[in-house]
Amino acid sequence: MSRLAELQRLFGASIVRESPLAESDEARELAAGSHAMSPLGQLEVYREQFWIRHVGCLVEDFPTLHALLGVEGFEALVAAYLRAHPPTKFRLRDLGEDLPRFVARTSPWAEDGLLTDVALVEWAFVDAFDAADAPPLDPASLGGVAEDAWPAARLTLHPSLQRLALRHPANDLRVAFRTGQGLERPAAVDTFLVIYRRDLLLYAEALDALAFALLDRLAKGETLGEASEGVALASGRSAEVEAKIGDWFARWTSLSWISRVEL
Amino acid sequence: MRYGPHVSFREKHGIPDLGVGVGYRPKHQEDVLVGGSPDVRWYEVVSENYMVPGGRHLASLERLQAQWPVIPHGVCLSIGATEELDADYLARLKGLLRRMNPPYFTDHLCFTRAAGRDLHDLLPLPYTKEAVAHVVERVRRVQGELERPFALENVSSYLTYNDSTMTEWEFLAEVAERADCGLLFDVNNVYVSARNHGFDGRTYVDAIPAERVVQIHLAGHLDKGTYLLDTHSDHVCDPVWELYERAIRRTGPVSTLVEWDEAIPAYAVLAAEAARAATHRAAALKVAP
Repeated sequence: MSRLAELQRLFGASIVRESPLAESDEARELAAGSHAMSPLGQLEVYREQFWIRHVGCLVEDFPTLHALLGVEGFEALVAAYLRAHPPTKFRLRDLGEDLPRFVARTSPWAEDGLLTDVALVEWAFVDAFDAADAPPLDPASLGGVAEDAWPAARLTLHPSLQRLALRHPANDLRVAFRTGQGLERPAAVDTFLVIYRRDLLLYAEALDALAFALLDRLAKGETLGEASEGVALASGRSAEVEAKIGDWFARWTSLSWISRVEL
Repeated sequence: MRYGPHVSFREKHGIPDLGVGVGYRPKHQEDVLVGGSPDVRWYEVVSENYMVPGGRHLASLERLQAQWPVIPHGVCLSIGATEELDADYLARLKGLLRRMNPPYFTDHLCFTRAAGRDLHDLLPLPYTKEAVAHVVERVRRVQGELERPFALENVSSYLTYNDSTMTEWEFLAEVAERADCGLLFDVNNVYVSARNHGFDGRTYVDAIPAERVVQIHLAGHLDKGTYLLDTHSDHVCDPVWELYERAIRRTGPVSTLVEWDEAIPAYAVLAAEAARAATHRAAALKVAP
């Protein structure tokens, strides 16, 4: 290892430490100190900034989760998260991408399903914000499609569209918190949510279970026929699926969720 | 390559003097896109915020560029790291430069990655011959790969290395000369580092290869008692204005930028700071603002 690489390794290893640095050979080897600061004090500036910056970034992306856990609780979560998932991507925007999964799998946070649901919702908004653009589907382009061609149709959904199956109405809590209506813990209830971007603004739309199941299958590449048959079989509610599918399709098109139909 | 007083890096590459600009921040989007201010002649954007697939930032960049000159300024190139240059990063930056077509692009003389981690900070390099050679080689590669002039910014620092064998200004000058790149000269960073490390900022200003400076940065900082922290959270202080005048007298008319990234004020306050910069610039250059 070159001397330059060794110095950078020492620097990096020092500033990601969770607690204030103690006198060490590494600090003395690296830093010279100044008229006003010891070698340790110089390194400590960078260590403090590392944590301020990374905690601050995650507070910004997960404000409701932060409010639920409180300052100390959230900092403990961030420390554990960064221990398990050290930042490896150049953009701070990506720092929280594994946080929902981490919360879902790691004690003590995993014991409270509301925390996972809130983390999933807040991250979905981050992902929807700068996902690729796509022109909305022009309904007129489907005017001449024969009815018997529809079962073989494959839909491409807008790249910003995020599908979430939750156990709590986490977005209602998020909205209440953001609008200053408090942070009252909601009762558990199965919630199916789509978060998406339209005309550069972000929205959330709740779906019923059947519609969500159909959208989920379509997003995974099934044809309209395969998806509707699959949902009908799985739910045992084929008549309802058949009755509602036209309305769902019209609604999703009006919300710009569908950007392309392959026939 | 050394540039004489009559052939600067700016002239060689056709880099314009844009006057005084400010950093473009989403908070000011509506103010800027519906007319801006006559005191703000151009905008700088943080490159990484626009190296994304789509969405509001990219849309606003398009509207911004339709009205104003815009220069991209990166924070994540990690030109001084000993790890390989990030190919994904370079590809995305290349895409952004193609989209924007700026006369040049900038980033910092620092490292941001070490031991496989992204530290998301502008960490100073040791001022050694080894570091010079390392950075020079990487700047040449980046300039070649991205096919347009590149300028390095001096960072503020809170740490001095035992290993350093030259001053920061000697290091900066040698890198720029040997890599044949431009300089984005941040006079607030000079002031912060001078106070933190006990040197005279005027010595630094007088020593840089002025003919390589394509842009000057100005900002505020925070006094933490035993050190100054480069926060971009306040007005530019008087000693920094003095350093600015000293610097622009040496460089001649170059684009100047006021940065404000924390405790961001109303757009009118930022525009007033830009107007103040124009006044200092005019006084130094002995021209009308």
